[in-house]
This record gives sequence, structure tokens and C-alpha cells, in this order.
Amino acid sequence: MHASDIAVSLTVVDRSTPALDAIRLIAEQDLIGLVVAEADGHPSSVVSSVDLTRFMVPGYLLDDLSLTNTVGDTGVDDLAQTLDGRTIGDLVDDETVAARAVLVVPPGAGLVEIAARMVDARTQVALVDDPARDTPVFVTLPGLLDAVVEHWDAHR
Amino acid sequence: MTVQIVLAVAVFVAAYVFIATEKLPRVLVALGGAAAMVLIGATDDAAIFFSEDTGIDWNVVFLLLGMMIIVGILRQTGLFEYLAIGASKLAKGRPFRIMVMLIVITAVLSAFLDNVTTILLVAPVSLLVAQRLGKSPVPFLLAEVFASNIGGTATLIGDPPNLIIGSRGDIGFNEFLTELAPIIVVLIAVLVGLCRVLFRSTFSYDAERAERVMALDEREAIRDPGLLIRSLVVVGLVLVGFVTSTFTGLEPALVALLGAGLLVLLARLEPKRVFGDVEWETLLFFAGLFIMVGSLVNLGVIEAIGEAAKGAVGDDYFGASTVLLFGSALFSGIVDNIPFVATLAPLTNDIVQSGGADARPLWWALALGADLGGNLTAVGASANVVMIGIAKRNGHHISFWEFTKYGIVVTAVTVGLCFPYLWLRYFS
Repeated sequence: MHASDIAVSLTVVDRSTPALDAIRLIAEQDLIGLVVAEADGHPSSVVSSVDLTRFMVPGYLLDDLSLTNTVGDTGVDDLAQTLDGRTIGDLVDDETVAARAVLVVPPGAGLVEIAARMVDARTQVALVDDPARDTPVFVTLPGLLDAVVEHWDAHR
Repeated sequence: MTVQIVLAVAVFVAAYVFIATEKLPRVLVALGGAAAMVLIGATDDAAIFFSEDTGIDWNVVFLLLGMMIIVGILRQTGLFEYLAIGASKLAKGRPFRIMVMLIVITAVLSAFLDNVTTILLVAPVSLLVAQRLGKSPVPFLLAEVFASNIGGTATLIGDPPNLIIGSRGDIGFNEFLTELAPIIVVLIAVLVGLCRVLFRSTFSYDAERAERVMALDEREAIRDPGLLIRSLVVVGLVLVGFVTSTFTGLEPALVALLGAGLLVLLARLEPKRVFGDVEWETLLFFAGLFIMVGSLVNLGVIEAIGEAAKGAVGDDYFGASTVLLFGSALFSGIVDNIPFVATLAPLTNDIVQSGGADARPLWWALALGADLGGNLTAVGASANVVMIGIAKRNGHHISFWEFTKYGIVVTAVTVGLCFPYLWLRYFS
């Protein structure tokens, strides 16, 4: 089984997408992250839901976790305030957030190769560099693990 | 002058330049310099490990280590967050009153904790409160770092240069407190007044915003009441140990280590949480620095400079104090005050030893100048650099000049006020 066999389409946002909209997208579609495209539509980076959450939580609360208990429910309103006016592009450029350049794998890459490359790049999403496709397709980590388990079951 | 002395002085000056320009990590420079001193024969193992005058000052190193362990455990209790939020609520969400409260809390904490630790504890609360008030946190952060550098001057354990001065000058906790705390109380009051003027555009009151501050629940910050109680008991015992050290004969370093040991025993936390806040690099930096300065003492360089200084000072200790006060403030505002004081302490000790009680105020002039001078520029004290870093991580850029324009005013006023204090108290 190869990358092109397990590739799927993912929601791709551009750098100008408001961060608040991105959070909504992740929440409503239960996504593990988002692929960010440049102005020309080419996917360039991947932001995980953890990255986005990091962007949403004020740094001072991460510096001092004791404070997180003191803010109560009103703290939830503050989260929206933190994101107000900021875009996914801001997140990608933020040095405190570990947004990653998108991992590119060839369409013929095998499962072990993809797994090793994803672990090496510490990413859950890889872009399949398949010129035969009009729109970008990706291998996700859950999709990869599904294929691995399927292989084990088929050869038991 | 022998080749050995020339080489030792060259190593020392080069290390100083590297530390001042921050071209290399300071711990690397200090340990590299110490190694070079050993290689050129300026010092040896007996001097480094066992000499009180020319070796590593273990009192300073272990006092720092003990306090780092105690503070590292204490900060996990949420006590500081409880105090800062409680104070902000006591101020009813009024910005200026909150700033005053935070200045006082920071100054008091700094007198007993390392300044950097104090800023790490207070800055996140200030950012939270300022965000709730809809204000820029920058004035609050600046006021706190100024208060931290001033408050740390009050005690033997408040600022690392004081530890060096205390150890070299054989000055106890109580003497430090009685000689310096009075002027520090005055300077904190003056700082409050200065902040009222410097940050006057920050203090408009918004009842709705104030309500958001009042909605914070400080009690939730205390996550382990048992640990808090045990920590407070140990901190109380340590403070009693410091205050009574003159009578008990227990060195402050030993008091801190005993307290740290007791708290480790009572806290029953995993080692990572107990020792996570120990700044091993800082301790090694001190060790390297003491070896370098000790080498110069070994070779008679410090004694020669001390003799020259004694000749220049004569019995004009007021003049010498004035030069020491303003010179230290200026120098410490530009470079790290720890190597500066480590170098000047043996020199000052020479003068004080020969001048007796009349010359003792030189120690206070050195402490006041070196500690308060840290407020002068953005790089004058480690706490300033840490605060600017926290502000930046939270989206508030404080430029070198933005800090320095306020720092110059605060330093000029506070150091300026020390001048009449020294004169009135010791020389009039």
C-alpha cells in the first residue's frame, strides 16, 4: 500500500483566515489540525489543534499554571479576546507556536517510509506530491495507522 | 610585574569584556577564566576549595542553593498568586491602587527572594490583571521590576551582590536589614510617587473592567494547602534562623541549607519539582568568578590596587562612599553587577579593614549603588531582561530605550536620595 492509496482531502485554510474561524472549524469538524496554504493555494504548513489552542491561551497563563484556576468561566471570554483580529498567518509566524512546514511524501512512498518520515518531522499530516491530482491530498496519521492495522489483520 | 601577573590580569579583563558584552554565556566565560587562572599557576586546588579569602565563597554558593530550593518549592503552592490577586481585589480594581499594591508586594518579596524569581512570580499576575483592566501591562511590569531591584537591596539575601558583600565584609542578616531597610522603605514610597507621574495616563477607572478583576478567585490559586502550610512554617524558621544567626553562630548559608533540607523532607515532592528551579549555571558562574578574583588576590594584584585606593581615599570615607555609590550605580547599570561587586568586595574590604568603623559605610554605598544601578538600563539587571522577555512573549515589546528612559529617572532619583542618607546617617 502506498501514499496515493490512503491519501484523503483535508480542509485547507489560507493565511488570512481569522484564527477564531479556524478554531470553529476544528471544533465543528473534529479536526486534528489544519493545513495552511499560501496565496497561490500551495499548502505550506500544518497547524495542529494544539498549536491553535496554544495561540488561544494567553502566554502568562502558560507561564504560571496556578493562575488558570483563578480566572473561572470569565476566562473563556478572554480566550476569544486573545484571538480577536489575529489570523492563521499570525499563528504560523508566531515564534512561540510550533507550526510546522508541511511534510511532502512521494505518491509511491510505502507505509513504513511514511510512518518514519512523519515521526521524524513530528507531524500528523503529510502532503502527497501527486501531479496527477488537481487538488492537494494528504496522508493523516490516523489514516496511516488504519492502513497499518488493516495490513496486520490481512496477513495474520 | 611578573609574566604570571600580566597573564592573570589579561585573563580577568578578557573575561570581564566577554561577560559585559554577552558574546558568550557568562557561565562559560567564568569557568573558562577560572581554568585559565589554574593553567597559568595563579591559583591551585588548595586555594580554590579551602581558602576563605582566595577560593570559592561557599557561603554565597550554598546560601543561594538553599534559597533556590526553598523558593522552588514555595512557588508551587500558589501563595504568590494568591497574594497578588488578593491585593488587586483589595484595591477594588482601581489601576493606581493595584500598581501600588503590586509595587509593595514585589518589593517585600524581593527582599527575601531572588529578584528574577520575584519577577517570574509577579509578572504573569500583572499581565492577567492588566488584561482584565483593559490596560497595557507595560507600566505595571516596569513598576514591578523597579520595585524588585530596589526591594532586593534591603536584605542580605535580596540580591546576589549583597550575598558577596555580606560574606566578604562579615556582615550579618540583621546588620544589613538595619542599615539598608530604612532607606529602601523611603525609596519604595518615592517610587510609588514617581510611577504616579511617569505612568499617569494608565490610571483611568472603568467600573465594568474593575468588576472583571473582582471576579478573579485568588483562593483557587492555592492547589495544595498542606504544602503551603508546611512551606510557610519552614520559611518562618529560616527567617528566624537568619535573624538569630548572630547569636546562634549559624552562618546564613547553613540556615538556608537546613531549611531547604527540612522542606524537601516535608514536601515529599519528586526530585524534578524540588530541584527544577535551582539555577546550576548561576552557581557555577559564581564559583568561576570567585576563582578568578581569588587568583588576583593570590598574586597580590588586589592588595596592590587596595593600597593605591587606600592612599587615594586617605581618611575621606565620605568622598570614597560618594564615588562608590555613584560609580557602582553607573557601572551596574551597564554591566552585570555580580562580577563588579565580586571584584570590588576584596578592595572595599581592604579599605574597611584599615579604616575600621569609620570606613564601614563603604559597604552600604557599594550595595546601594550596585543594586539600585540595576534599574538604569534594560540590561542593568537580570530581572529587567527576564521581565522584557515575558512582556515580549505576551505581545508587548519594550524597547531598550523605552525601558531606559524610565530607568534613568528612577535610578537618578533613588541613587540621588541615597547620597543624603549616607551623609546624614554616617558622616554628618
